[in-house]
Amino acid sequence: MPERAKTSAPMGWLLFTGVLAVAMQIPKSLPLALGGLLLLLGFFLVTDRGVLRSIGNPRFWIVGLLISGVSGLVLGKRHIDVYGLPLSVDGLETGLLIVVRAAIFISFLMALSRRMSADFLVRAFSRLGMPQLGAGFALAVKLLPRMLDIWTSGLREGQSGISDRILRMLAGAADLADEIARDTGAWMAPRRNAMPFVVTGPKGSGKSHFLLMLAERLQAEGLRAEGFIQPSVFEGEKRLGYDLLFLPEGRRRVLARAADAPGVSVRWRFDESVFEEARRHLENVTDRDTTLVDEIGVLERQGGGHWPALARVLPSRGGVWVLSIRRGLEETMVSRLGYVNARILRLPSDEAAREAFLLDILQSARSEREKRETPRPG
Amino acid sequence: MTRPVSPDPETGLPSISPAWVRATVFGALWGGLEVTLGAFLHALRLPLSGVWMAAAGIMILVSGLAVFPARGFLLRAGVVCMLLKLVSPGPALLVPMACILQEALVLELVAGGARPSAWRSALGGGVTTLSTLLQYIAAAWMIYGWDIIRIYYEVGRKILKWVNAPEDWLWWAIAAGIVLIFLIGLAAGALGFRLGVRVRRLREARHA
Repeated sequence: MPERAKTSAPMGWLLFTGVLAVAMQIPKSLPLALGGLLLLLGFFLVTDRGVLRSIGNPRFWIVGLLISGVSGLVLGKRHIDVYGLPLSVDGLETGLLIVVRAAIFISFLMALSRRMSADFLVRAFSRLGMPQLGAGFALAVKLLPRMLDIWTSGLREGQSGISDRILRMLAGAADLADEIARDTGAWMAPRRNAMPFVVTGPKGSGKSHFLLMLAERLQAEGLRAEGFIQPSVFEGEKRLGYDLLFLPEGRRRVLARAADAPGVSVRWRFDESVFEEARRHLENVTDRDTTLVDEIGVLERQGGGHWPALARVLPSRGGVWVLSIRRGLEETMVSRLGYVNARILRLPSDEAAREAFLLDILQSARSEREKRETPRPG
Repeated sequence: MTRPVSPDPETGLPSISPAWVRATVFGALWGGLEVTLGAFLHALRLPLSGVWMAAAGIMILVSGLAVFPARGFLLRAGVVCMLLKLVSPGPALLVPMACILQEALVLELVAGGARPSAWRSALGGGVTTLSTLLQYIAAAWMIYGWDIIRIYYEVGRKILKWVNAPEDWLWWAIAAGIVLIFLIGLAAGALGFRLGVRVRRLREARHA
C-alpha cells in the first residue's frame, strides 16, 4: 500500500509501454516478443522495480511453462521426442510466445495498477458526471471497517438460517444509510489523523515493550494515553499467556492463558469478557487522546478479538492512533480499518529508528492537542 | 431526491446527497465482501470464483435498489465498490476494478431505474454474470492472444477423445456452461430483489 504511492514510472513512458504491450500481441515472432520483453524489463528496472518483483512470482512462470508444455502436446504435428513424450516444435514455440506476451502485458498492467490513485479516478468520474464521488469514496473508506464487521459477525452468527442473516445484514445497511443521510455532517467530518502509526514485527520483537515506553513518554509530557497494551506473561522461559493492561489507569486483567488441558486443540483460552471490557473502554476514547491498541493479529483478521471494537469505534473517532500489528498482516489490517496509508515502524529495528518514530508520535499527539484546544472562530 | 452540491468548507469535498449516501453504503457493503470473501475465493483459485462474486454483488446491489429505488443507484454503488479495491492490498488491481465497473454498468443498463421489478432484476443479474464471460475472453485475448483459445479447444477435444465421447459434446458443454452462468446471475438478481422487498416491508412495518 505505501509502496504504490512511491512509484515513479512517468505517465508518458507508461503509455509507450502500453502501446508496446498491445503491439506485441500481434506479430507471431518469438524473437521479437522476447526483445520486447527485455526492453520492457529494462525500462521497469530503471523506473519502477516493484513491477519486476510482481512479475518474478514463481507461480506465474510455473503456469506459463505448463501452458507451453500442453501447447507442445496438443498443437501442431508432434515430431520430437522428449523423455518418451512426443512433442511439436511449433506447439512449444506457440506456448512460449503466449508466456512471453503474457509477461509483457501483465508487467504493463502491474505498472498501471501501481500508478492508479483514488484522486485520479475521482477526477475522471467527476468529469463524467459524478461530482459527488469524492465524498462518496471518503465515506466508503470510513465505512469499510463497519461493513467488514457486518459481514464477519453476520456470517459467524449461527442462531438463524443464512437467508435471515443476509436479510438482517441488508436491513442493517439500509438503516445505516438512513442514519448517515440524517446527519451527513457528523459522518463526513474529516478524521483528524488520517494516517495511523503502526508498529509491526514478529512475536517477541518488542511491540508491546515499545507501546509501554510510548505510554510512559506520553504521560510524562502530560498527554493522555488511552487504549490497552497486551503484555505476555512468562514463567521463566515459558509463555503462560497474555494480560490486558488498560491505559491510563494501569488496570490489569487476565486475557488468555495456555489451554494445556488434554484434548483441547486451541493454544490459548481467551476470556471473552475482557474483549468486551476492551470494547467498552475504546468507546470512551475521545478525539483528544492518543490511543494505543496492542496485538492486532490473526484473531482480528478473522473478525474476532479486538476487531469488533475497532470496527465500531475507529470510523467515527479522530485523535492519534498507534496500532501494534503482527508482521505480515499490517497492510491487510490497515486497509480493513479504513486507512489508505500508515506510518510504519518495523521491529526489530535500531535504536535511532525507534526513537525517531516515537518522537514523531509525540509531535502528532502535541499538535492534535493544540488543534483541539484552540477555540474555533465564530 | 438529491440536494444541491456545495463544497464542505473543512474537507473541500462536495456535501453528499442522500442518493449518494445510500449508493455508497451498498457499494461499501459489496466492497467489504470483495475484501473478505473475494480475497479468500481468489486465494483458493476456485472455478467460477469471478461469477460467484459477481452474483453476490448483484444480490447486494439489487436488494439496495429495491429498498431505495433511484436511477443511477447501481452504477454509483459499483463505482464506489471499484474505488474501494484501491485500498485493499495486492499489486494487481486494474483487472478486478475494470470487472466491477463493467458489471455495475451492465446491471444499471438492464435492471436499473426508479421502478425496479422482479423480472428486470433477474434478467439484469443473468446478463451481468454472462458479461463476466466476455471479461474472461477479453482478458485472455489481451494477455495471452488467441492461441490460448486454440489450446483450450484442443485440450477439450483430446479429453473427449480419451473418454470416447463425440466431438459435438464440447459445444454442448460450452452451451451448458453459458446457461449455468446465466442462471446463477438470474437467481442472484431474483433473490436480491426478493430480499430487498422484504427489507422494505420490514422498514415500512417499523415506521407504521
